[in-house]
Amino acid sequence: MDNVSVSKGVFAHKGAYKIGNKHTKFQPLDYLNEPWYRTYSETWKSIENAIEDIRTGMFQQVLNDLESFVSKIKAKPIEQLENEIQTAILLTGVNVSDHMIMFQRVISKLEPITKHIAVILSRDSNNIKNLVEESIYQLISNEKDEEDILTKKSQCHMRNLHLWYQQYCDPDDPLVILITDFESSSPQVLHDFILILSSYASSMKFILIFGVATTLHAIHRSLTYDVTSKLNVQVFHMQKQIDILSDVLEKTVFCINIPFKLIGRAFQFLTDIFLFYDFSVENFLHSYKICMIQHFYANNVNSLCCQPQKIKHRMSSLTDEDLTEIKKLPSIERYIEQHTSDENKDELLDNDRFKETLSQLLNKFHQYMHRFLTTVKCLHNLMSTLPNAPMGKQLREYYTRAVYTKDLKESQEYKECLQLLSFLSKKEMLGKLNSLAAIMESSKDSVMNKVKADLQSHIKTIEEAGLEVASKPVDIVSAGEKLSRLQLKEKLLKLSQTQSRSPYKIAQQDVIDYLNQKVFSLYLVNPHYVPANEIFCFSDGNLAKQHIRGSLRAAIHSGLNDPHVYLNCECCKLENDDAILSTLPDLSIIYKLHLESRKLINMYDWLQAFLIIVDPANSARQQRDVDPKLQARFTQAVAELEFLGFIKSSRKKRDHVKRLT
Amino acid sequence: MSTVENLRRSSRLKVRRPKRYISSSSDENLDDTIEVNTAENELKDVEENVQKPVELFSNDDVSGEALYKLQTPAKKNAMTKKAYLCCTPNALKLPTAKVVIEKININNKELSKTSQKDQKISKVPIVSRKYESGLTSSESESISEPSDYHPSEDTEDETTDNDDIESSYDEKDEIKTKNQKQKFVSQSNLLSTPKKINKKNKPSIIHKDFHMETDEYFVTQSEKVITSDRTLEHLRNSRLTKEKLETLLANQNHVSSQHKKNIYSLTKNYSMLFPMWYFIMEQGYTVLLYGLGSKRCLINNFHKSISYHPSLVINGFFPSLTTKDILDGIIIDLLELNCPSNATECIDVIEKALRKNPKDRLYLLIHNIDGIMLRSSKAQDLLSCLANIPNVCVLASIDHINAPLLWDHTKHSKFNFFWWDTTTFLSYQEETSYESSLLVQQTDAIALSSLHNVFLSLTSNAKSIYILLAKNQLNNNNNVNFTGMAFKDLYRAAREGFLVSSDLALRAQLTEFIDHKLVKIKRNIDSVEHLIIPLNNGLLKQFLEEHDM
Repeated sequence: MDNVSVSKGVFAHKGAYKIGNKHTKFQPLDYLNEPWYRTYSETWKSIENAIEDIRTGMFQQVLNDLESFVSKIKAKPIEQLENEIQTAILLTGVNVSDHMIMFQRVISKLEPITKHIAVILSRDSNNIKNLVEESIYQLISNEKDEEDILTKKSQCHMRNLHLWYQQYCDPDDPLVILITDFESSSPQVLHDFILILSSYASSMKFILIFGVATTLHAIHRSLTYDVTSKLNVQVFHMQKQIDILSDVLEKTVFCINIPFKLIGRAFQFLTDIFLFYDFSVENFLHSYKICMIQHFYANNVNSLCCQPQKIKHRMSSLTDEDLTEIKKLPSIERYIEQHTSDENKDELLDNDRFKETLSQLLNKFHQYMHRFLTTVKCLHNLMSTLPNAPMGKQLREYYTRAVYTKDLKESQEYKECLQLLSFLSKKEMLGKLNSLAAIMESSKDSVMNKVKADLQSHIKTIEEAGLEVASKPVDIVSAGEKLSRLQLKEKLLKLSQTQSRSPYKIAQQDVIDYLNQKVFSLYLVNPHYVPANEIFCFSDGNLAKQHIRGSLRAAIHSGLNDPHVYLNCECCKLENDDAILSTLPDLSIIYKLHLESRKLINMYDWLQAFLIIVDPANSARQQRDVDPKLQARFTQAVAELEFLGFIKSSRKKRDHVKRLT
Repeated sequence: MSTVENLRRSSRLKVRRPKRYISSSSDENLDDTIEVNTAENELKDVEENVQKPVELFSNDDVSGEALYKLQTPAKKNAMTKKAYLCCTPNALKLPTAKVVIEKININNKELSKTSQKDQKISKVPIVSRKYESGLTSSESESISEPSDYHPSEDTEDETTDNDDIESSYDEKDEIKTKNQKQKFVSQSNLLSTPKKINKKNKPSIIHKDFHMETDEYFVTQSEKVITSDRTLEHLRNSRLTKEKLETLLANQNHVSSQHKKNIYSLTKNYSMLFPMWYFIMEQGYTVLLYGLGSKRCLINNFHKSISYHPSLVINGFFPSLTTKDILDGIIIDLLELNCPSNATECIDVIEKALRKNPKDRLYLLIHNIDGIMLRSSKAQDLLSCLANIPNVCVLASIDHINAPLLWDHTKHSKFNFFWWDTTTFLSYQEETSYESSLLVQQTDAIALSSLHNVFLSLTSNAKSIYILLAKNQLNNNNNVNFTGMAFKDLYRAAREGFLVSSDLALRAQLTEFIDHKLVKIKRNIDSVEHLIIPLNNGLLKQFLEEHDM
């Protein structure tokens, strides 16, 4: 099974069964019954359901519009269409990887109206023959499931389509052709295709649907006027991706029904990928799933990451080993230390007692999370409409701040926001407070209800508070009184302070203080500091980065530059990055030497330098007799470096290689 | 506007003071300057509202400069010197480094005084930093101060632009990363404790990223290079043949036993991850292995663990691999169906067969998915389509540093990669064995043996003609301007030896050589035909020694 040969690059191994043989027995996968797997799949299922809802909502608008577009065309008699091809342009956005799902939805939505739908992927649309054949093939074979009449693709041409249309079709039924990726199809091919279709437009109803990822401009740029004049275009817009992301986050990360939480750097990393790389919801979910796999895999402890009512049941399936591991979780260890004196430590660590404490902790965490999320929503509500929005406009930005920074209250932006809040007018303030109360209302938590009650009383006072400065007995500085300069200053200061405060201002300041001290500082604690957070939260940005994006170059570089990182041996410990020890692997030495040179590297010099390091005993003079063994090592290392893409052979000068980096 | 601002992805937008306008504003309308100002203000707004990625690039990442860095000004024997430097004890090394810094500082000041817009301004501090990082004393920091940028108007922009990247070069950061190392270790313990798999003596690897500065690449590439003229011909012993190389490296005993042990334990650790990979593939991901060292063994070991399932092993590094081979392998050998000629139809066939049997699995194990023959977008498209089928599980490895450029968004999302750093430090013996490698490892044997075979089938006259040609070429060994033997010279020589009787007969003989690529014909400016044997002289000599009659 060495799988190397000089004549073959592909090796098939049949395995123990043949694909398609129905009687194969499969070993049940060994992880299926593990607690962690059950939790994982449960959580993922609930996320998937949530996503499903989002998708339905996300495409709803477009789907309905398209549906009415197609059915309107269906209702019109063909003469009224004036030989134009009815065209719908879907501006889908740049997240190309999400489009397939959307087009599937479109198809299922349109199927009740017309059975004849062809979907053209970009790989089919590179030449006109393929395009025509593929679309006609799909149009015709959708009609009947049994493949009897026209199955050969070579027979799929327009004349046959025409015959078939007259023979089998209801003349009202439009033929829908979906071209999913307009930009990646060649304009020339589309040009021809549309012209062909238009010559049949008098006898058949065609509907073209283009998926355009960029802008409408793309169509005008790639198709000439004589083509576009044949089209009757209607444009449909998709929802903005940024809105979709906030929907997704709201239903997954910010949702209390899903116990698994992304916090800290991991969360930031995922949203960054979305915003700066691809805008793709699907990719976001894939990355999310990767985080979940990291969190759950082979980790029974995290099976406790579940709804509060299931905690008891899950707890029962834990082994003693698992419990010891839980005790070692840093946050729990800290908790135990804080809450025990030395005498009863053992008592608390006793497994039964510990289970009790643990379930308490878990429930507390749920409670905390609930309050946390509600408070974040409140904060968002309160501060997102402030001028310039120092803390951002999206809920995710608030969440990120809350889970990313050590202490939100200390941050500059937060303070600025509080200050801005105090400048709000009465009407605005009341509106905000009312919506806060509404958010609290929806929560069933008792603490939140209490906060709500407090808020309402504050609202009342604000409502009642007048804007006028209450006329106080004005303490006029009588001219007769003799005051020292200092006294006068004090007095004036006092006057200025008391005067500027209207009852509304006081009430407003009260409510802001209340929110700051009694609500935000209590409930906006970074989850990282809450006991048992390791069970629910995934925050390791490095791990996520390493598996989602990969850092190939970094891995190779650190492998070459500092092998000690991986090999963990005493002999390769480097004092600094530039040092080259003779004990390093050959490849590493070669690499470090090559960093010294510029565009071209002289092989002879390189070899000499290599010899100096590896074989210092003979290094005094230039070596013309090289130990074949050393030469072989050098040769192999250079070949490997070329394989890694750092150098390539150069034709410019004899025995030189070119640096590629 | 608000969402647009949030969406704005470009962080490169910089406000540059348009000098042009300022200098020439005297003869321009006032309106114009106002316009410029407002435009400038707008630009400022834009910059303020640009949202920057936080997590994607962080300060403790390895800077791209480490890999793509500007080098010390080209000196003679830089590598040899470096090698000496590294061999000599540290005591010697420090002063030299300091001297360099001082020198540079002087240079730097002079340069900034003359305020040249030369690239060197920005180059110099980097060089000094490079040396600084070697210094461990706190002194170095005081030295580093004056060597900082002298912010002239032109370079200022650049400084801010590069700042966060370059700062990783500062000593301070170096210390910080060291501190972080401690922190990371504890964190990774935290995360790996519950996981039984990677607990045991897995090295706590700090994963750094790096980013490259594209500008620097072009700067280095555009420079004139001066290298020594020495060639490998200087070496007494000839270049190694492939066979000899293999025997010399066969037992790998230049690798110390300590390293062998550690390499072994690395591999063993990775093999403990197999169940996890298996799980990940079941979840619909493609496991992508990267990192230094051959991952062939690892994948082959994994293959053994899934030998129950039908599987296809693809050697991406195999130089004459075609996508057709892959499709044939799946359809004919594994599915036992008829293979259609069109690639898209092939995929359809495979997809249909697999979707019908959702319980069956097909494993594709691809050694080097970045292999030379798989680099075309068509091949990657095909592989990504295969990977997209739910019950096709793909495990692939990459080695080339630019491999990730192969995939665009669409392919990426079809593959759905789960990256995994598996640095093994094993040598790439099989992978490099196919390469018609660099100058050192001349695969002469093949050229020579093919020459032999053709030569043996020639008539004796043709043989003699060829030897004439070869001798002539060897005689002109030292002639740099030698472009080959002129046709008429060869004809004369051949006539003298009674080898041919006419011009035409010689041409007939030559066609044979040309067809087998034993000889090349070149026409020079005077349209005189020159014949040259496309082999190097050493080889030719060897050939003549064997065949000269």
